[in-house]
Amino acid sequence: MKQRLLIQRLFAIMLLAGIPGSNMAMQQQTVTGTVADATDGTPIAGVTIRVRGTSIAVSSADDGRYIVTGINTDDVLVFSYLGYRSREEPIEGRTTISVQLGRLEDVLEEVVVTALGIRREEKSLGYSVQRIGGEQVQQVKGVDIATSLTGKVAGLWIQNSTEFDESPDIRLRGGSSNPLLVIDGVPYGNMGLRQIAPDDIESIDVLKGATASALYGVRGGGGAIIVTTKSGGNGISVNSNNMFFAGYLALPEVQTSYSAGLGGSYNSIDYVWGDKLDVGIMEEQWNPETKQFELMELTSRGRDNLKNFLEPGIVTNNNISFARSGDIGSVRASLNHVYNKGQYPNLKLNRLNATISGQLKLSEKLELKSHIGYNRSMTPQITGAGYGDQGYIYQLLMWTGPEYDVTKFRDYWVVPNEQQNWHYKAWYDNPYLIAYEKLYGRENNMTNVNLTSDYKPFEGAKVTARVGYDFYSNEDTRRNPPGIFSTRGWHANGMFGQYQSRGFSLNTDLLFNYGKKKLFNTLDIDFTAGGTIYRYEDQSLSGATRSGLIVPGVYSLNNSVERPDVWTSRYGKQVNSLLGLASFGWKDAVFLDLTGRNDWSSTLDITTRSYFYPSVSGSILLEEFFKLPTWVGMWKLRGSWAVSKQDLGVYATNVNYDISQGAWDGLNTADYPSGLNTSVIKPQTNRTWEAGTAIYVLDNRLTIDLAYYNVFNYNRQLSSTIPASSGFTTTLINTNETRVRRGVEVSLNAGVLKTRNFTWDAAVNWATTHQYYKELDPVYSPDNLWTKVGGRVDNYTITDWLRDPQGRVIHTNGGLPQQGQYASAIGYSDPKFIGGFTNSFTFRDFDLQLSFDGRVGGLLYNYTAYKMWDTGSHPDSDNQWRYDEVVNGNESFVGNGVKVVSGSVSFDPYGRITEDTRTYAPNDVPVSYETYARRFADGRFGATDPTFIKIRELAIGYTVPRSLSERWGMSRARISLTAQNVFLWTKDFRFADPDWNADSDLTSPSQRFIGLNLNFHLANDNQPNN
Amino acid sequence: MITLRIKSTIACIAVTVVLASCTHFEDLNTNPDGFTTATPQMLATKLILDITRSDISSQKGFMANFMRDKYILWSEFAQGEQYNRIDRTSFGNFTRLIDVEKMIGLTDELDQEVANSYKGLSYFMRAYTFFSATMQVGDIPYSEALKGEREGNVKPRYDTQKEVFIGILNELDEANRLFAQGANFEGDVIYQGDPVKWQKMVNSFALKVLINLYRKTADSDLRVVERFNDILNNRPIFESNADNFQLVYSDQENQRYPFHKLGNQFVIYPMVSDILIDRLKATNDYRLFYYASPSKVQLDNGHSSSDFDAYKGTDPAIPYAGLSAIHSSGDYSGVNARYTEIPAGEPISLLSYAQVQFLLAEAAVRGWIEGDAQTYYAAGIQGAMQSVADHTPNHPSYHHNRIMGDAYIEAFPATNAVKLTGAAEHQIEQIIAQKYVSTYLQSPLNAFFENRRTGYPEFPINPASNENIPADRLPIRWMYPSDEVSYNSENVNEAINRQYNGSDNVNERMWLLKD
Repeated sequence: MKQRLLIQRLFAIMLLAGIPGSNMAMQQQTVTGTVADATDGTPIAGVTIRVRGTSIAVSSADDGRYIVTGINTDDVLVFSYLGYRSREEPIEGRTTISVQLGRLEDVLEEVVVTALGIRREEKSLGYSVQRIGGEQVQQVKGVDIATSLTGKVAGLWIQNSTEFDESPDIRLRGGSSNPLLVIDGVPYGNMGLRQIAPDDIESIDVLKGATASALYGVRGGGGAIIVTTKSGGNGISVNSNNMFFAGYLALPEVQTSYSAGLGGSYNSIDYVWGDKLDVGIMEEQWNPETKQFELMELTSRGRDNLKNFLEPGIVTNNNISFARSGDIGSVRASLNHVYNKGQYPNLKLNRLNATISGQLKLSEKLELKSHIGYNRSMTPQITGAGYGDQGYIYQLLMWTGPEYDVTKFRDYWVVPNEQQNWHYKAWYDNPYLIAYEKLYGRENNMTNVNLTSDYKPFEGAKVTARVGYDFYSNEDTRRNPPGIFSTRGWHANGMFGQYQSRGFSLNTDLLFNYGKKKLFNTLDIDFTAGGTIYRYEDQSLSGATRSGLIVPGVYSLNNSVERPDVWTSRYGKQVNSLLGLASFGWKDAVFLDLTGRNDWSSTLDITTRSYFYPSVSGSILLEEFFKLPTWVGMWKLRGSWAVSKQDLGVYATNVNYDISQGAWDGLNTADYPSGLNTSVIKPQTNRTWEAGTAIYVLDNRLTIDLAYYNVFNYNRQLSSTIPASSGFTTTLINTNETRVRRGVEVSLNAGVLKTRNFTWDAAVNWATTHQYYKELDPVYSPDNLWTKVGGRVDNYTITDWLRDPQGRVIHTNGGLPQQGQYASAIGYSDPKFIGGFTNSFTFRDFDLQLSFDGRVGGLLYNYTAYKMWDTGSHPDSDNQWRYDEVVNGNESFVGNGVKVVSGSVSFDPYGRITEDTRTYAPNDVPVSYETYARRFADGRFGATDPTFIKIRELAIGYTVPRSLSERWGMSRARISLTAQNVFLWTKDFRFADPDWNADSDLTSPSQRFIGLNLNFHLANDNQPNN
Repeated sequence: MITLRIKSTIACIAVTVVLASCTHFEDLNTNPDGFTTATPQMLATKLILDITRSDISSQKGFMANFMRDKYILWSEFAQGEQYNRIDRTSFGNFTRLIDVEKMIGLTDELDQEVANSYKGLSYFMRAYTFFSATMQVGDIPYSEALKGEREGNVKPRYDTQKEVFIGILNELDEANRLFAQGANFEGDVIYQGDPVKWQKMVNSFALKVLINLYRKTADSDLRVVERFNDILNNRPIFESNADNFQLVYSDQENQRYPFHKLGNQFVIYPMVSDILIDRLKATNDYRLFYYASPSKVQLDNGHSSSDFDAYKGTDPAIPYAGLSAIHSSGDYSGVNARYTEIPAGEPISLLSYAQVQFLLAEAAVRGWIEGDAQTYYAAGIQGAMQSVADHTPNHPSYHHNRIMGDAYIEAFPATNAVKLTGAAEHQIEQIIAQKYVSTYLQSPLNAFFENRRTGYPEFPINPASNENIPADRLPIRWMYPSDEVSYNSENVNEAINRQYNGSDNVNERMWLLKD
């Protein structure tokens, strides 16, 4: 009752204070002036001049002149133009305001968007923020925006998958995948970068450290990506980018000299260690056209099976948007369509994204903003990749021989829905049958709504109430006909499964802000305080047929032989928070921020549920205190310290039996969990400190930004392994093992060349980060040779071949390499560093964008190359030993290494040698090359250095001169040649693109895309004729 | 003023919302689809399926143990199990014994006799699980095991193998006592809850444990022979195949025979070893026609599928290249079609009437018990044959027209090539060999442990293919689990030091195997 009264009173206050405001007397006036480049004084056309707090906006004409009418004497004009830093000018009664805009390299003055949607000047920040303008993701539009961000932000590691409908993996500073995404101030729970059309993006600010996102709590503990969408504007914009397949960057190759089979003889059962091809050997083989076995010569007619099966990909990304701004607000609508045809047949994604956003100025004091988006993504098929799911590389390249021509198998039935047109009887299926009959379809829907009200009760104060909500509803379906052999995850008797999931996240903020500048003439203060509630719920309901389909060809749960399996899940979580931020600026030279946040999380026990964490950060501009050399424009030092705390996963402390329905003859079973749970777990704590500096030299032609950070994790929540003899395999605890992550980031921005007609701007980003053990837990840290204080955590371990003291491989009596029985660490999995290099050239009306990125060092499992040694398809296995064995029947291969002549060795439990009396002789035992190659493969169990460099994007554009485009009724027209995933160089990695930091499941061929971008704007500016 | 009022209003709302929501937090974080309790039946079914369906495994996992047992060769690649590579084991099965404790905890409200049966099952499950573990490695955590939740002990000490065996035997005694006072219980997929059958199983299993201690008959703590006689004379044991501890498969999802062809692409790989096939041929044993399929090459050569000569076993120690060549040539025997074509296959026993008769025969030869070894031996062979005959449909593709009728089975054990002859050691060899024949695709790893214990039947060692180091020996134990080495190192190292002089090596001889 009392609560309701309070709410009523609040509304009453807002109504009283807000609406009458609109009746305030306003003096209407007109302002004119010119806009020019601060560097060379030339007029700038097309500058947007907005009246702050309203939606009135006009553009400057060719001569830089503008006129704004119908505004108030106390309004503020905001001048903004691509490539220049924005500028605000209070009218203060003036009727003529001419301004000069500084080029964007003066980024120190740049305003960035920080936590909770607060706009700050970068110079006042004590932590690292990097801004990407919307235009950087609007030129070469692929399937995902994130791809265009690759290499453009120091410390932001984006791994692009070659797999169809697979979003890139985004990591900040080596943290976990997918940092918090904030869209227009709302940290949605389900929205991803994929759900935002590139053309809707005004800017992206990457807040890198925990300090940056201290106010978002643990969700922002690894940093945050802050997206600001466009609002307002006038006219119609069209941005169309259509790209087509133009070759492969990484495509596995195979040997084409030997057939399927084992032991040098042909069979269509398994492996590719069969007979010599193209030498006139006749074998009974399946004829896919007559659909029977026939005596045919073994030839390498399928030497290009994978290539022939692949289809050229297509990526189109088309956008149209409409916007109109007026006195009381603005509205913008945008429609985006993405079509992606994958590299395998029947992979076709259609994605639609529609948004409407608007602003409404109800009064001088009250403004409402809203953004509504809808996303729909559909594809009939996503399967066909991977080893585990028996995809096409597995089928066509790894495991079936080059002696059949896959293209003759397009007619994939012998008897529809019952028998396929195929020659294998285990493991492998007609790939066209997989493409069109073994279907994994996906339909995703997502809606998001954001409603924000800003109320200014009095000078300097603002109350922001914001509700952000997203809702998804997805359905996957899987179906396969009976009689397939690649049944892993499918069913040999046929199956149909329907998997539905839906859920929402709701984020509500209520924030109060008060700021005052020039207090006592020197001090700027700004306080924000408020509360936020974050809640999400997910649920799923799934069913699948059991024991097959009653009638082949009918894909329905109603067609299940046994009662279908049904399973369900429901998850929910809520975090309530109170937070505050106090910012101080002294003489525009010293800045200090203090934040604090207290969370109450539903996933923790009542005794540990409430937790507080603070942060402090500051910066100082040295030029205000010291006389710096004249070539140094500005020199900023910054530092920060922050704590963030992390709650548990939903139900992490629940102790539930695992139930299996109808496990045997209708009997149900129960199993007590093997994970031990303590209900009282403290929040995990991450303490970050960061120091950095930014130097602007040579008239800001060169800027250098350096950051060092140190993240210390303690009270780590860990589901620690414990010995199974305790009755349990894991236990959820706060371990005393602590870890520290250290990293360095460097970014350089340079205006390399600048002449009247030609410019070259370049940016370099470089980052390195590693995590180390700081303290070990005497109970819960593993006792092995590589877990040690000060050691890195990303150890790459293998169970290596036994080696003599010189490192030579020891062979068995049978001449085969002998594998040891103890694991050892041979390197690290993380890269030594990652980096990016972007270039932008302009020449008159032409421009060229070129971006590189890559990684150096670390180890990655190159499974594509490794596994082909076992299957017999590896191109390097086509050599004289194989020939000698298959054609001449000689086992002539002798492994490189030694054999033991006498003596023995013993090991301690860690695998260290305790006693060794072995003597060696060079290995001289000839063995079957096939046997040896299958076992020894690359000798490193696939561990490969994935160092690579990639040309990520290329765009060559021509902007039609405005005089010409205006004749066509366009205020802007641009055409460009665009390309994505242009070129790849790898050091050792073979047959797969190491961009995605995993090849353990066979990476699909990496495609190059080249296309055309058309971008034009039909102006409908409400500017007067002048 | 207004500022303050608004501020305080906001604060009030925020605090109120926060506090009001907190009260729902427990509900929000309680899984509505989770089960916080179960029934004794559900746990009993789980436990019984654990040691049967799960441990028997399926597809390749099913065949892997039979490669160690030298029944099966694997043509896919040089499979470590076939070539005597042994790495670490896992004590993961210990976690099942927590279900045992939970099951006992749920019996309070049951009828006393029903509760006794569940408790008897509990002791059996513990004994069975600890026995399997100690047979692999030697010393294991026993008295301090399973106390992670109850006592917070996540680093249990190791008991000596002798202490473990005494514990196992005592727990089996307890299981026998409880089943004797038990009533029919629910959830039993083997004996339908019949406590008498369970009592027979528990005691028969105790006999198996005791025969493994044959090197320890002089140990007065163990009282091996005394215990053996006590069980034989005073307690029920298996009396026929109807008592077999076996899982019966059927044509339902997750209940099909582990090597049935449906969704099982591994059917193309197995070959049958010459150890088995040569013995079957040497004794004119018709089980050859029920166990194996004829060599395609020998059929092409004119042999009929009912000829012994149509069947060709392969040496399990042959280097892989040779094995592969034989597989490619088609001149080998694979597994009989009934294992892949019939969804129900045949029941798989962990302990059979036949095995118990064979170990009684061995005890008789060793002079532990009264009774005629040949009688037990004949009963074992007949029981084993009968079981095969009973579970094979009358179709030529499954028996190749060599039908084992009652008369054949009756006469077989007394045939010259089969009947017990010669010195005690020779008789033991014959007994273990017949046990070997009886556990083809049955009782996984039984043949491996019997070979380790007795040396019979002899497993070939080929240094050119043997992956053990040294290559002239077969490994005789598993290394300790990696989670023990990493997370319980002090205790496992103590056990390694006291047993194996600090070397956790697969060739080290555990207490059980020392005279």
